Amino acid sequence: MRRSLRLLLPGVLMAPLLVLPMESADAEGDRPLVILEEDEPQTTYPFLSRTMSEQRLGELLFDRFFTLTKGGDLVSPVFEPGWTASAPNLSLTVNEGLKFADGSPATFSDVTFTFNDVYRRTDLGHNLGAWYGKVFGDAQQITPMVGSVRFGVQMPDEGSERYLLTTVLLSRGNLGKGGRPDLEGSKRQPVGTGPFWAAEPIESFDDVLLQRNPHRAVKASGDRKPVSSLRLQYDQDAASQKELMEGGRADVWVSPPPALLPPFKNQSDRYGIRSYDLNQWWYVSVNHDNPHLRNGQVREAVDMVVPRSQLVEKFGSESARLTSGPFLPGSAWESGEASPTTTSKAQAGELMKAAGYTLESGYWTKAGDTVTLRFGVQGDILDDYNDVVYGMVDAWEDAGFRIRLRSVRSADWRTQVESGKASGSYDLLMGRWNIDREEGAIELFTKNPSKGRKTNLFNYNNDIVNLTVKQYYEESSGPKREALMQRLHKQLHDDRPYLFLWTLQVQSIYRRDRLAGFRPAPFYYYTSADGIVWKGDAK
Amino acid sequence: MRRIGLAAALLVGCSGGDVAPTGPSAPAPDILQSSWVVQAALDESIPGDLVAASGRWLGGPGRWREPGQGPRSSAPGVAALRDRARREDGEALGQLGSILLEANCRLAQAPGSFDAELALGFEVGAESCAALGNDDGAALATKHRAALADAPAPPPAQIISGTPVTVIEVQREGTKLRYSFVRPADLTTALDALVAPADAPSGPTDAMADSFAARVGTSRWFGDDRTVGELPDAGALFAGLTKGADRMAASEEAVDAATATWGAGLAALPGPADGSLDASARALLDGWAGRALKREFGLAALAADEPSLALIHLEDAAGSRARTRPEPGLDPLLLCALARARFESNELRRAVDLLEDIGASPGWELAREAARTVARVAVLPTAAEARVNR
Repeated sequence: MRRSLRLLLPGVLMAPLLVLPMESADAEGDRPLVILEEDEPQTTYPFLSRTMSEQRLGELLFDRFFTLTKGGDLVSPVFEPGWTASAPNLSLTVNEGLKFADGSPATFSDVTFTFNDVYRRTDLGHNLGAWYGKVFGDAQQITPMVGSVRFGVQMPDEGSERYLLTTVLLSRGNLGKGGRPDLEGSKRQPVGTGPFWAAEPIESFDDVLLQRNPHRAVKASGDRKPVSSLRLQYDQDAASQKELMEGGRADVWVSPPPALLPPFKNQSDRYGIRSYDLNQWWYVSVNHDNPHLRNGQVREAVDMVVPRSQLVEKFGSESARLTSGPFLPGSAWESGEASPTTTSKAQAGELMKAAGYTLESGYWTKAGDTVTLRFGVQGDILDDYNDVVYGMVDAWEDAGFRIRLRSVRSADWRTQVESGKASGSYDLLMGRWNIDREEGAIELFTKNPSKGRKTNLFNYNNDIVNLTVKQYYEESSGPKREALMQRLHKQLHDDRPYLFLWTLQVQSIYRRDRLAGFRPAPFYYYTSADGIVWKGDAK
Repeated sequence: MRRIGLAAALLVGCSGGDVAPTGPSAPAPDILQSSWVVQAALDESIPGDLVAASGRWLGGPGRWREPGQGPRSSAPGVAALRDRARREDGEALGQLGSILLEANCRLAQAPGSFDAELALGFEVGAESCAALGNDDGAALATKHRAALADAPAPPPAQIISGTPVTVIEVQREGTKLRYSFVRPADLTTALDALVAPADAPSGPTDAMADSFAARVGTSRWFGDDRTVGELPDAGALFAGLTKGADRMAASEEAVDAATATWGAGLAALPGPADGSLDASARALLDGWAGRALKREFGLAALAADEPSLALIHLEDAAGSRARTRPEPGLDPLLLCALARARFESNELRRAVDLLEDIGASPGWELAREAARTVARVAVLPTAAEARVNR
């Protein structure tokens, strides 16, 4: 064979080979798997979660009653196969041998406790009581392992177990002592049947050490070793996380900013990339009580100034796609009549003039009142994507809107924003929502009379929108429901309770030279955590 | 010295003293030289036009061709390549067809998915469930159909990507909705027509070139099976996996080990000027081998009804990108299989994204119909409390 290099295919991308020095080898299997997470959790109970890091932590500690498997079928880590539905009861048998991480056996008494004493209660600090109380009656134990869950609404002919996709099994023995379950007091050492648990009470929630649930069999064959413990590190900025990852002091980085991915992708022997399917959308929530923003033309002008196309470039690699409403591109509920707002400073100016504003000293003013907007941004976004945030602020300032920027730390977001009091401090709030199913978005625009967490940040209330939502819930025809949701998408696009920005494709980085079997599940991430193992020759 | 100048533009020379040590499992250079990977890069007896025509698997300029439209050239091997591309296009459309069948079956089991004017949806859904062997699903869909009044006769089917598709547009609540239905029998007929053997070879034949055309981009590295032990193909790796909880981990390790074997062999492969291949050239060839192995492993897993296993390998083969789009190097079979693996692994949003991008390629519009159907599956009422987090 005559050898000569030749052009094969012009334009083929060739990744540069980068070789970095390897850190000294640890004895894998004995040390914790180090995971770089997001915001510090305030709870370990998934039904109290407000952030994705809390939701993911809960997925490690507890088993959901049912989870999705291949092709949308359901499996249960808690119940024996062969559950039966006969209106109004769903009859279930707890898996023989299922144990909580503290070694106590799981029985149907724990199921009744979960329903009757936690989920259906309205006085425990979660928002679920109303929903569970409406959908379900009492759960009843028949034998130690067998019982039924009674429906308070009409049971579907098929798939009634789908109502239980988010319910997790709680321990009566652990939580039920002393009457009223103490979710706050027990959060440092919750007891579930999930793959990991806090063998020692969690001292600090910025660095959580979990041990393998000793009562949950995990097998690994060959030279592979099950991961025996996890160390979850929270509240670090992206620059610190990058350093930890590059320095070999972390094994998984859950949500790196997309712009930081390329150097990791270029070392494919060392790092792997796994996409994380998440309905995530970024927004600027708009306070309609602000005297300027009450005017739809002003809201539209503020929206039209945002240089979306420029800003998404900062994420790189097509990670971000523009959105036009609460339902993401490709959703059956995204309206074809709404498209992402086009940037036009000139048109924004025309709108402001039409609304009676004049430019004075570079700022829009009406009746002596200059448009000044208090702009709060989730702290982690401002830390990790400050070029995006300042790009937005600069565009607004340049177009004549005075902006007062403030970072809102996670704890403040909880107390100042999600408490329903945001109107007093902010006019615009930038954040991101993560939603497991499209339907979840509805609560972001509708009034929530409960005293708990408010995801409708500025208490948006629009009769036309409310009517559409009401019609949707009353409708059983799929085509009509789809049309109604498309209408809702368009109504929200036009009325702008949010400036809809973009959706981001999250990609996790992991050490492929050390780990195998790592696959993030949609939304819940750690659903398959049992399958993560140290490689036999991991270094 | 054909194309040597152009070669310099892509593979920037060789470095004489850069021979990496080979591990014990590294295949000998003479073995590697008979693989399609090295043949494509270095073997002058493989026609350059044939290598260039292999862009759908190896990468390069251009875009996807319409289904069944292979490369045109009179070079030896190109006719065989065209024939293979046609067959793979049929398989790719078969993956889209599988998505449509499964999605229609799932939709038709929910009572509200269609109304009287769209009753065909339940009929097609029942047929789809039956074709998938889901008798309970078929019975449920049939029950839902029976509960509806007689529907008006559907419009004549349109041909989309060579497949008869009944498109019904309805107006609901002032919004126009498009529904498309593919009967399983029509899908089968269309795919059979696409993959039927061509009438006659339309180009010169050459045993070596034809062999190359049959193997390029696959894990059938050699024209014979003499070195299977050293450089296993994906089928052998998949068959060798043991069942168990760490099957996914085992599959990754098996594929990584095989990829490392390739890398070790390529590191020691002499280049054209008696030096070794430089880093860029090795990376290119490594990339081809790795992609071929992962692609075929993923296809094997998908065929064996293991979509989660298929998903990780097909994603890796497609470059683990934030947004995967059709392009040379990411061939139709790879991406259509990836879309199916995402769908079957319940990554519905990402399945829709990919299907929409595939459907934007001329001739592949059937993927858009699949995208729309999957999007409807994603919003089927599940009744569970919906989680919303920061």
